[in-house]
Amino acid sequence: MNCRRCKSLLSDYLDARLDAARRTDLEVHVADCGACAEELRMMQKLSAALGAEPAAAAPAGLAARLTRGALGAPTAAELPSFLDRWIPVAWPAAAASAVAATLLLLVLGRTGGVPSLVEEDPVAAVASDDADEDDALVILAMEEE
Amino acid sequence: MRAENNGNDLELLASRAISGDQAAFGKLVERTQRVTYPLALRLVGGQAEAEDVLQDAYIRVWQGLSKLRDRGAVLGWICRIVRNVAVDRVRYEQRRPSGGDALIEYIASDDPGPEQAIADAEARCALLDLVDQLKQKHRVVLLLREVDGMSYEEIAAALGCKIGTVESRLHRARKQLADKVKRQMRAQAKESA
Repeated sequence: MNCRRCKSLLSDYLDARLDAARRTDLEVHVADCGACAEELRMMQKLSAALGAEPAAAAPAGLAARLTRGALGAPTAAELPSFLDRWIPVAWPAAAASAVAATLLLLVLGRTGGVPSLVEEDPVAAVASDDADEDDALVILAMEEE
Repeated sequence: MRAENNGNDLELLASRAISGDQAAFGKLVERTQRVTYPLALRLVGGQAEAEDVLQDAYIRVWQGLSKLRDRGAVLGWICRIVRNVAVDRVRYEQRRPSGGDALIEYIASDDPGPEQAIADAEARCALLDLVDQLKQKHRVVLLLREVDGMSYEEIAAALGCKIGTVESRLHRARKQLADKVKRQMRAQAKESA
């Protein structure tokens, strides 16, 4: 066994996962190789030091708390959906906005609109006038209704 | 720690829980937390964070149990949920103080005397500091094996990977940790010279 092979097996050796033949080969190599012996010694010490650390034991009563928490949690069906949560808030605001926009259109339609600060293209102006007329007709139609 | 989770028992508990048996679900939580608690703790680092992860995970377990197809694989399924919840959490900050000198004394020492730094909190902190520097996938396997004493099979089940992957990650973790300790020892020797 060479050093490279030996080092690749050290972890399995530490956990006693090598078969008898490979374990013997490794031990023979380590007995003659200072570098590998040193590597093994360090791994054993580190393993022992980590093994002395307290294992993660679940705190007392954790399972009961987790169970209660899970059983008491609302299911997806019980939770209000996004729309359910937002429509009660958003609907009045949307309705108010629509009313305000309609009133603004009415006011602008009767006063001739806001004067433009930009010199208007005559063709566009005609189109714009047409549009205004159309809007006025729509608004009138609404009023008649 | 040795998890004693018989797959058949867990399957039975899962089946009873699916049919609405809350006591069976409680037993399922109790039995599986022997694996899921160390897993969550090693993934997120702190006890409070681990408990939060587990609470979220077991809520999903309870609510999703009816969708579990292979009841015999319930432990792996729960562990996968725990991992998914854990990866959404912020990795824990390293709060441990450095104690490099004590670690070097411990590693370099051959005397098993009472002064030996195995019980020295400073050395332990230094060692855990180096462990924290490992990649998460290596660190988690190392801690589950060395500190929590889980078998390769249990680790593979907890992480949802093959035993060969556990072997290779553990090998790399040990090698890298040893290399880090050696580098620290060399740096310390240079400073002293």
